[in-house]
Amino acid sequence: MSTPLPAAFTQLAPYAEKWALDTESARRETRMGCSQEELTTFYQAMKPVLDEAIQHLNKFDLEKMPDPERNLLNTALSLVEISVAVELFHNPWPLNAWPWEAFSVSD
Amino acid sequence: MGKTERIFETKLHSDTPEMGDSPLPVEPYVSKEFFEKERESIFKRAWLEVARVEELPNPGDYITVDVEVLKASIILVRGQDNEVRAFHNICTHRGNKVARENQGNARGFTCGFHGWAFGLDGNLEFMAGEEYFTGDINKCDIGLIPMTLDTWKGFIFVHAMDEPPQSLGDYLGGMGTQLDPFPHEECERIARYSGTPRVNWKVAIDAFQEAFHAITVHRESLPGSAASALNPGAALTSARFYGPHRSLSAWLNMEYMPPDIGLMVGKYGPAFVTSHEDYPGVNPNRDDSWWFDINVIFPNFFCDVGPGWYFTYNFWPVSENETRWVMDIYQLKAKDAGALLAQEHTKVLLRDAVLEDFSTLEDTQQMMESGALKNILASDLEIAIRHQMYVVNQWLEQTA
Ligand code: FES
Ligand SMILES: [Fe+2]
Repeated sequence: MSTPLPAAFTQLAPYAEKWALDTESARRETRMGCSQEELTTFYQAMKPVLDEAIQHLNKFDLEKMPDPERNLLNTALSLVEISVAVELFHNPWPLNAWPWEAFSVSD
Repeated sequence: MGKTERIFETKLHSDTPEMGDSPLPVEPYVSKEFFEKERESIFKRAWLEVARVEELPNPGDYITVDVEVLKASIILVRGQDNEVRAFHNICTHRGNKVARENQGNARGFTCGFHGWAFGLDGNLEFMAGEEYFTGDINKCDIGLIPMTLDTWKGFIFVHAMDEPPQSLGDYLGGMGTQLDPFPHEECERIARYSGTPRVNWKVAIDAFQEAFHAITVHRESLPGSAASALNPGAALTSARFYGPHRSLSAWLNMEYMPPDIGLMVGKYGPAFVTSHEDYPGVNPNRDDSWWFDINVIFPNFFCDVGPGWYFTYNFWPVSENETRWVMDIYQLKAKDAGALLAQEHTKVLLRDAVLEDFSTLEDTQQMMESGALKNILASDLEIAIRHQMYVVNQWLEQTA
């Protein structure tokens, strides 16, 4: 498996494949390229285990995280990124917004 | 006006200048002539925030900052003696730029035109063709041209005058004192966003110094946060005026339910929508339904603070209808994954909410330029907008 996860979280593997992304830009771009349905499916799958995942991850040093934990963390960061689309905007991207292309981001 | 009774009133905790209640003229937002006066009377006479010291951690570290309104490119550089200095990014030979990268670490700056080399302290160290320059030229006098610089709590400010009328400390006055206890130096930058909308700098600033718009503009990102039956107009909970600066506390509806994921990660670290506890340098009047403080340092710098995080905006005027905006978000260094996720939520929500804020700017500018409207109306919910116009006019009159 190309995106290993900690043993207790392997059910998230299909999502980690797509969402274990290590930059804000990559997570945002993936969010923008998804349908609302796809975001909602990911959201519903991961939200119930988020708290457990955080408690597991908090046992590890942020700087020296093993790959499975790093993948879980990056997937959780993606969940945060897309959560606002599901919970607030009801659309992958805010509709009432200045065009993203006009923004620039320095990571 | 004011037919129905006000349910909520903003508390004013400082001497509020006599600003009247008349409509505000549109002209200062659209006029090229007015903008030229602002350039001379405000931007060439005010302390301007340009960077933080953490951007230059080591000797030799430098960044260049474009300040369009001064028509300047400025080098900020940390010397071998650890001192941070500012220089105009111009070669004293024939005017070429000396630093061509936006940032880096260097032992000095060598001009790409004829190879003159300047040290980190600005001194001219190598003058190619020296023996061919005749006339009364002293190598000591033709180092890089320094610019007045001072720092406050790690914020680097520059000033276009060699001898500013006030020190940075005196200039910041009560605004500086209010923010002094905040641990800016313990925070790290987690995001930088920028954009250059077609808008006057004051129109842009106005959109970020009232909460009234939250009801409409942020109805999706922050539903029910800034207003309720207790405060239907999203009035600020309190405001303070310190000379040209202003500090505005946003009111929070205590019944507001932050989004689920925000609540979940907010247990593990400070997040924009979930942390309201006491904290040094925030909520100066200990308001009950307090959210965060909008602090506007005249003319163009915001330092908005909350418990464990802060964010800044620089609004750099390019012309009367173009403004380059930069937003930096800072938080206490995340010590574990939970804190990092809380930070991410803050960043994502602020970013998307700011995109909403920007949705009105260019339309407003375009329509103001139509000339159809001579005046805009500012309510007591928008006292900061009135104050800004008041201060702008004051500065223009002082130097008229
Ligand atoms: S212009 Fe810089 S060396 Fe000539
Ligand atoms: Fe806003």
